[in-house]
Amino acid sequence: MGRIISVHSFRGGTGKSNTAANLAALYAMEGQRVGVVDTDIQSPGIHVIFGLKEEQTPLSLNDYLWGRCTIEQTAYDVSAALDGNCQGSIYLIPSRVNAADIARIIHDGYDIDLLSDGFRELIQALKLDILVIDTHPGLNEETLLSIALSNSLLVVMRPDFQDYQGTGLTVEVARELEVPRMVILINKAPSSFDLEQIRQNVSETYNCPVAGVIPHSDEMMGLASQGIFSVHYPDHPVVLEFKKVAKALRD
Amino acid sequence: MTPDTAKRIRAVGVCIAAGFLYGFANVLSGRFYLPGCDFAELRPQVVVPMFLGILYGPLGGFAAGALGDMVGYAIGGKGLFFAVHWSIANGFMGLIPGLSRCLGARPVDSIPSFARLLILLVLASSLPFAFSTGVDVALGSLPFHQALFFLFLPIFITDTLWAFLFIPLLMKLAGLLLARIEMRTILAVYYLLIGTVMATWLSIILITMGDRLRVEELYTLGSVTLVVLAIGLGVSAFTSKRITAPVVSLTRVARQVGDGDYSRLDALEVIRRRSDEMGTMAEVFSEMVQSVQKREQELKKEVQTLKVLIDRDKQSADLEKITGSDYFKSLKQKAGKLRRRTGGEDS
Ligand SMILES: Nc1ncnc2c1ncn2[C@@H]1O[C@H](COP(=O)(O)OP(=O)(O)OP(=O)(O)O)[C@@H](O)[C@H]1O
Ligand SMILES: [Mg+2]
Repeated sequence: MGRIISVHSFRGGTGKSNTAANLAALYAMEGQRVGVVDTDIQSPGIHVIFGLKEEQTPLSLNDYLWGRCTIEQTAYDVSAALDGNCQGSIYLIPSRVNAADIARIIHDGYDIDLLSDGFRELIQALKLDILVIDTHPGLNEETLLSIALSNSLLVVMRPDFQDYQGTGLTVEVARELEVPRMVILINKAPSSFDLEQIRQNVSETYNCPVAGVIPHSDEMMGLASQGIFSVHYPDHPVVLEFKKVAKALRD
Repeated sequence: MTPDTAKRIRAVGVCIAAGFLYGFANVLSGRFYLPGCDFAELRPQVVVPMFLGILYGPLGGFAAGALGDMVGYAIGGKGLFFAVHWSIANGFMGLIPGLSRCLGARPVDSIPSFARLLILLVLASSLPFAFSTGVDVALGSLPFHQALFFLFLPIFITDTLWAFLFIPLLMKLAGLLLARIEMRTILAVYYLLIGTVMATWLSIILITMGDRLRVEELYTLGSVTLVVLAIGLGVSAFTSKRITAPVVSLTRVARQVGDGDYSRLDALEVIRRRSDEMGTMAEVFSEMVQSVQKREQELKKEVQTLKVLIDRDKQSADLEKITGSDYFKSLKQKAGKLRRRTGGEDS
């Protein structure tokens, strides 16, 4: 049965969506059946990385949460985004980008329990090995739920003072929820930094293993979320770090 | 047979073959003087033992020179040991350029090493024959005056010119002369000078052809020409060095900077004071390096100060706010069950 992996960060823009997409891609390249859910209903984005346009996705997670359809109906096969390297398959469950829809869901809210039922149905219906959840930054209710449901949690942070306090809080909350496995990914480290020193410092401060340290990468910046980094630059050192993280979250 | 012995055997073979080549060439050139001019024997083959020396070392050069001389006598029907002191002299003519390896003139990659090579060539064309001519004089077989103007000077001047003309070319072909910028500059001037000197020299020989009375003037003039050539080369070496030295030291400093060594920048100080383009280039380069160095140091400083700091009190207060909510409490209760339901719970 499927394993749920949540990718979270306390602050926005740390690289969650790109990391989630790359992890999903690496698993699918190994032949796994992977689902990716964009639970960032307020600022969705991961569909862009998989090259999925809004008009191609008549139904989204929002529709499921409003009871308009089943969750399988919102899953789109995006295996083609791997340029023929996909040994398994990837399904993406996008969120609605439309501003009115976003405003509505923020205003009306939805039944949080539906989300956990949805994950379960999705894993069963699509026979998923792994379900990757891209979350909204912060610690709101659906994010807490995603964390609580996770078998593995990846906390993404930047070596930036704005990230330190919130990352600590996230790690403690996940501990309270007894998430079975939790690792940290440090992203966007200036390449001039001593990456090993950052890794040690962070893992000691949070008392939590650091599964990868990814330097700021001009190639990643240049890709501008218009594709999956591991597919475009399979031999790049950044991909090596993604692979380490993928292994730490699964094994 | 080890590859080393094979190489040595091949070298000996080449030296013997070269000796024979030199010998035959000696017989031929001994027959063909410039028309009507029996003192002007043109012997470009002297470069064979010299080059053998450069290639295979002093012993190889000696073997090729001495053997060649003896073979020449033998073919001429005079017997191998017709003039042992001349054979020895010819051996030394090959031996002396062979010292180039020990004296840092091989491979030729700079003006100083080129100068050392030329000095060896001059020595190889003079010392051995001063000896053999001297022996002839001492034995009383030639009067001093005759020995100087009809034997030593013709040999010395023509051998030097042949060596100067061909040895750098042969070394270039053998990959022993490297095309560094200062070599490129000096070689152009060098061949211009040699060409001019040789052309002049040959014209004078042709003009005075067969006129035995003019021989002394001819070779005195020849010696003067060699001196002028030496001065010309010295001057052009100096100017080439002046032109190319900044490029060479800039390159060296650039390489050191590439290796992360910023300590040699003051070596550019002299170049920076020049008023030409080189000066500007050195100026721009050192400014660039200084700003790179500054940036690097700043980044290094940041590495040292990177330290994750968290306010533990604030953290536990925030944590309590979250974990205290009813939603969280029920979530915490359900969490384990929810995870098991999706089935991926770690065992
Ligand atoms: N290592 C990196 N080097 C350079 N740029 C990066 C790196 N990682 C991510 N980025 C860039 O940072 C931006 C934000 O990435 P991403 O959308 O994945 O973050 P996010 O955490 O999902 O953001 P949000 O919180 O808004 O959802 C993107 O433009 C991405 O290309
Ligand atoms: Mg995102």
